[in-house]
Amino acid sequence: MNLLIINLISWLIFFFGAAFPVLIMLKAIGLTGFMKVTRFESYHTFYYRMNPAVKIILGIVVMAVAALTIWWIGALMTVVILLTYLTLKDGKRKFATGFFLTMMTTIGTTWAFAPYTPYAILNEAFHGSALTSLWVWPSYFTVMGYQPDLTVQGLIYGFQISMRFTAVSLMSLVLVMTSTPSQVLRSLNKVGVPISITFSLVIAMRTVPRIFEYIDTSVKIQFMRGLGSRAPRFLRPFYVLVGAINGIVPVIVFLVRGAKDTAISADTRAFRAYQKRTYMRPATIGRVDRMAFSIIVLVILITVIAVLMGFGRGIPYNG
Amino acid sequence: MKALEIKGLKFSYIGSEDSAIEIDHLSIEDGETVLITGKSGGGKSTLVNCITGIIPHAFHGEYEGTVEVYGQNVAETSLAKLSTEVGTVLQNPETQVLNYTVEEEVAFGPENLCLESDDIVSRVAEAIEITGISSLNERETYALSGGEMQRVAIAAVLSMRPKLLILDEPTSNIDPEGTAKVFEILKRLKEEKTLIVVEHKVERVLPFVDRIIVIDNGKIFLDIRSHDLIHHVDKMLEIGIEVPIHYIYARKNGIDSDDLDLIREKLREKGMIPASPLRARPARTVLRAAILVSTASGKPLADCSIDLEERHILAIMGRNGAGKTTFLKGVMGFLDTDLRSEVSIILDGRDISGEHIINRGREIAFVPQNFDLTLINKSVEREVAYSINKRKKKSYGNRLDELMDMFSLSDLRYRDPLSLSLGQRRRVAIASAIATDVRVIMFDEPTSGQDYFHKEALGRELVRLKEAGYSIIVVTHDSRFVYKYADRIVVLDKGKKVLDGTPEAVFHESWKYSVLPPSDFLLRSDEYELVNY
Amino acid sequence: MGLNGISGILNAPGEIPWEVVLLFFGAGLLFVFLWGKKTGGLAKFTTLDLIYIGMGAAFAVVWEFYIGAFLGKFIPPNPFFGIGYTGRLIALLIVAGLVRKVGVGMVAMFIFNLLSDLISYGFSGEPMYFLYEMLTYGLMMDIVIAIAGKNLFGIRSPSRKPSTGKGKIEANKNSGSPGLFSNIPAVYLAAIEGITIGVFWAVPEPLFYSGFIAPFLYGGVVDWGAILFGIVAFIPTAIIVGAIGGLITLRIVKAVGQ
Repeated sequence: MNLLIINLISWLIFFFGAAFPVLIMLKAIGLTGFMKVTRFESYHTFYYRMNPAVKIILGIVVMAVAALTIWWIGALMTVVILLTYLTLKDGKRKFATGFFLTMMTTIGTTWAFAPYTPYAILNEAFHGSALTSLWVWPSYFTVMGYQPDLTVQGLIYGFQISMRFTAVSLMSLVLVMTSTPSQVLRSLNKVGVPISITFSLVIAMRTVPRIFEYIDTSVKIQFMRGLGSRAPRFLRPFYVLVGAINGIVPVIVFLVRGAKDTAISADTRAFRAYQKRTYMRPATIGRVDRMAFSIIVLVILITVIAVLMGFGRGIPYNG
Repeated sequence: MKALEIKGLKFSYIGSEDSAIEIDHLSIEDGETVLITGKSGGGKSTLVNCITGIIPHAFHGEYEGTVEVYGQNVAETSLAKLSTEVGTVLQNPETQVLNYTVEEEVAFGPENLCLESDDIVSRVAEAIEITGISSLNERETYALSGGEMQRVAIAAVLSMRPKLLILDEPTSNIDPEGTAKVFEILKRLKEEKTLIVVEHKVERVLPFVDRIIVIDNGKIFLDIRSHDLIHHVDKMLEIGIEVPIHYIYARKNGIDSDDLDLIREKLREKGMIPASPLRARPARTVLRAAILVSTASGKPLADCSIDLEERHILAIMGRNGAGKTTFLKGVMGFLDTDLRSEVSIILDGRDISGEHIINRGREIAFVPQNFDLTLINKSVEREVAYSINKRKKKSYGNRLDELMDMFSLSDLRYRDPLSLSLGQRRRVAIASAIATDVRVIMFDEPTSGQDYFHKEALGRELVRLKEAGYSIIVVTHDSRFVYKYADRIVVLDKGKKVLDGTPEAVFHESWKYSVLPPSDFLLRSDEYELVNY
Repeated sequence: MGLNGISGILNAPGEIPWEVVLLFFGAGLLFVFLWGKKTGGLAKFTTLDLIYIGMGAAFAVVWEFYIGAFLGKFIPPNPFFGIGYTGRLIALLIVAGLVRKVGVGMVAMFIFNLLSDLISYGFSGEPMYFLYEMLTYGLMMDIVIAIAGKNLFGIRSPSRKPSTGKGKIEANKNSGSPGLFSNIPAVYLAAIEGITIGVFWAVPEPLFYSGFIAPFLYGGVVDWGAILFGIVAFIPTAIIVGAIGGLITLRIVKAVGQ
C-alpha cells in the first residue's frame, strides 16, 4: 500500500480513538449533561430511599467483583446498573447519559490499552495463542509507545479491561445523583471522618455541577464573541474544550468571591460548635437497605462460586 | 434591655492603614427595628460582621473597643454561642445556602448545636411556618427562585432562634414578588425580635423601620427616627443614598409631609409636577423574536413575540419564572438541548433562526448577570480585542482604541480585568461584548445587587450606547431604573407577553403581574390608585 | 487480585522494600501528627479555608475526570508530560495560595481522593491511595509552604490567629516569620515556588507509584531505568507547569483581594 495512505489511515485510526469519546462527550452529553449526573435531585424510588453508606458499600462490592471475576461479569453488572438508571428521576435522560458515559469509557479504555499493551502480556492473557494483526502502524509510531501492530487480541484485551471500570463508575454516580451531600456526610461522620473534612466534601460536591454550569455559560459567550469562527465547522465541538480551558480562571475567581458569604453563613449558624453534629433525621437502615444487603451477599456468593468455577479474573492487568 | 451596645469600636482589615469602621457609641434597644444604610464600601457590612462576631473571630484585623449583644461581649463569646443571640441573612442567597434540600438547610444550624432530633424537628417546623415555605420543603435548593431561596435562608437563621436578626440587603437579588414576601416575614418578626435591616434602597424598607442609621466612610453619619427622614433628605443625597423621589420634591418645595398623595396634591397645586423622562420616538424594528419553548414533558416556559426598535432601550420585566431569561436564551441560541423549542429571529429583515451561536454573536451581544465569567483574558486590552482578533476583519481598523475611549478604559489597558472594581469590570465586559459588528445588546439582570451609584453609572452607559446606535434589551426587576432609562417595557407572565408599551402606560397596570411602579411614576401619575397595590 | 483491588505483592523484582516505604509513610504521618498538634490540626483551618479546599478539590475532579481526561486522549502516554498532573497541580497550587497554611496540601489531597472515590473509583485500592497521595503530593506541598513561611507565592500573609482578648486586640499584623524570600518580587517568587512544588510533584508518580504502589497493587516487574528516566524526563514539564501554576495562583489571589 502506498506509504502516504498507510500514514493517513494510521493517523485517522489514532484520531478516532482519541476524538470519538470526546465527540460523544460534547455532542451526546454536553456540559449540562455532566451537570445533571453530578447533581442530586429529589425523587422517591429505591435508590433515593437507600442509606448512602449502603450505596458506598454497594460501589465497593461492584468494584471488587469486577476486578476479581471474568470480564463478562463486569459487563453484566454494567448492563444491570445502567438499566436501574431508568428508575431515577428523569430516568430516560439519565439512562442515555449513562449509556454514552459507558461508551466513552469503553472506547477510551480500549484505545488506551489496545495499541500499547506489550505482546508478552497479550500472550499471557490469551494463553499463548497467535496474535491476529489488524493493522501495521508506521514504524515511527513506536515512539509514542505503540506496539508494531494493532491486534484483535489487543482490542479484546482493552475492551475486557474497560469492563472493570464501567460498572463502578455508574454505581458511583448513583450515589451522587440520589443522595444529598448531607446524607453522605452523615454516613461518613458515623465512620469517624471529622466534620471539617465532610464539610469540605459537601462544598466540593456542591461545586462540581456549578463548575459545569458556569463553564457552559463562559464557553457560549466565547462562541458569541467569535471563538472558533474561522475554523471549519467540524472542528467546532473541539472549541468547546478550548473555551472550557479559557473559562477556568474566571470561574474559579467567581466562585471564590462568593466563598466569604458561604463561610459567614456557616459560621453564624454554629458550624463546628462541637466536634460532632446531631441530625434531624439520623441515618437508619430500612427495608430497601436490607434488600440491598441481600443483593450484596448474593453478589459476593455468586462471585465466590464464579471464581471457584474458573470464571475468575482471566487476564492480567498491567496498570 | 439593650439588644446591642457598641463602645469605642475601631476596626481595620489586615494590610489596610485606614479604619473600616469607627463608632464611638451606638445602642439599639430590644424590639427596635433599625435600618442601616449607606453606599457600597461605606462600612455597613463591616459593622454587621462586628455585631455577628465574624469580626474578630473569623475575619481578623486590628480591633479596638467593645461590642455587646444582649450583654455578651462579642469578642469574648464564641461564634456558636453568639449564633443563638444574633442571626444574619446575607444579600445573595445562592452563596449562603449550603445544602441540597430545603429541610436540610433549615436544620443545618440546630444540628450544629447538637440538639436532640425532636428539638430540631420542632425548630425546623417553626421556622418553615413563619417563613411560609412549607410547599418548598422537599425541593432542591438550587432549583428555587431567588425569592424562594432567600426565604429559605431566613428560615435557616430563624431555626437558631436568635433574639436579634440582621438582614444584609436581603432583597437586592430577588424579584418584587419575592421581596414582598420577605417583607411580609419582616412585618411578622417585628413584633417578636430586634431587627436590623441593611439596605441601600431606603424606599423599600421605610414602612417597616423605627430608626435609620446612615454609615459613611466607616462612621455614623446620621442616626434619626424614620419619620424624621424627610428633614434629612439633603444630607442623604449629599452622600449618594437613594431616597424616595417624592421626598426630594417635598423637600425642594417646602412640603412638610412624607405622604405621597399629599405631596402630589401640593405639587399639582403649585404646578410643580415634574415632567416624565424623555422616551425615544417609535422607530423601525431591528429585531423581531418569536420564542416558543417548553420542557421535554411539555410544560410551557415561554411563548411570546417581542420586537425591538432601533436605538431603543427595551426593558423586559415580570416575576421570576415568567420566561424572561428563557426568551434571552432563545434569541442567542443558548437553550438546553433537552428543551423543545420553535424560535424565529428576524434581525434587520434577515432570518437568523438557524444560525449557530458564533454567527448570531456577530450582531447580537449578551452580557450575563455573572459577567465576570466572560473575562477570560489577562489584560483589558486583550479582553476588548478578543472578538476583533477572532473574527479578523480589516474594517475594524481602530475599533479597539474607539472602544477603550468610549468606556474610559485606556488607563486600565494593561490591567488584569479580574482585579478591577465592579464598575470597571462591567465596562470591560460590555466593551468586549460589542467589539465587532454588534447592533443589539442584551443584558440579563444588570441591576441585581447594585447600589444607587453603580446603577446610575450603568444607566448612563446604556444611554450612551443607545446614542451610539445600539438597540438594547434589559431584563431587570428594578422599576425605578426602568422608569428612568427605558423607552419601552414588555411584561411577561407565565411565558406570555401581557403588557407592552411605554413605562407610563405599562406601570398603570403592571402591579397585576408583580411589577410594582416606582415612586417616580406614582408622583407624576394622576390616575394611578395606590389601593391597587 | 486480593481484597479491595490490592494484591499485596511485596517482593516483586525491583520493588522498593516495603520497610523503606513504611518508614517514609511513618515519618510522614509522625510529621503530620506532630505538626498538627503544634498548630491545632484541622481546627486551625477557618471555615473559609475549608470552603477553598472543597472548591479546589471540585476543580481538580472536574479536570481529572472530564476536561483533562478528554484532552489526554490526544496525548499518548509518555514520560514527558501528563495532562492529569497539570490540572491537579494547578488546582492544588491555587488552594495553597488561598489558604497558605501548612497542612492544606494533605487535607486537600484527602478531600480530592475522597471525592474521586465517591464519584468514580468506588474506593478501589483504598486506603493505599489516601496514604500515597496525602503523604507524597500533599506532604511535599506542605513542606514548601512551611519553608516559604508567611510569604507563599509572594502573597504577604500576616498571621490570622483569632483574637479574643479584652480591650485593644492586635491581629498580629506583623508577627510571624516574614519568610526567607520576602525581598523577591511576587511574580518571581510565585513562579519559583510553583516550580519547586512542581518538581517535587514530578517524583512520586515514577518513584512511589511505579516503584511500589503499582507492583504492590497489581504485581509486575519494576524497571528502575524507566523510573529514573521518568523523574528526569518529567522535570521540564514540572518547571513549566509549576511556574504557570504559581503565576495563575498569584493572579487569582490578587483578583479576589486576599
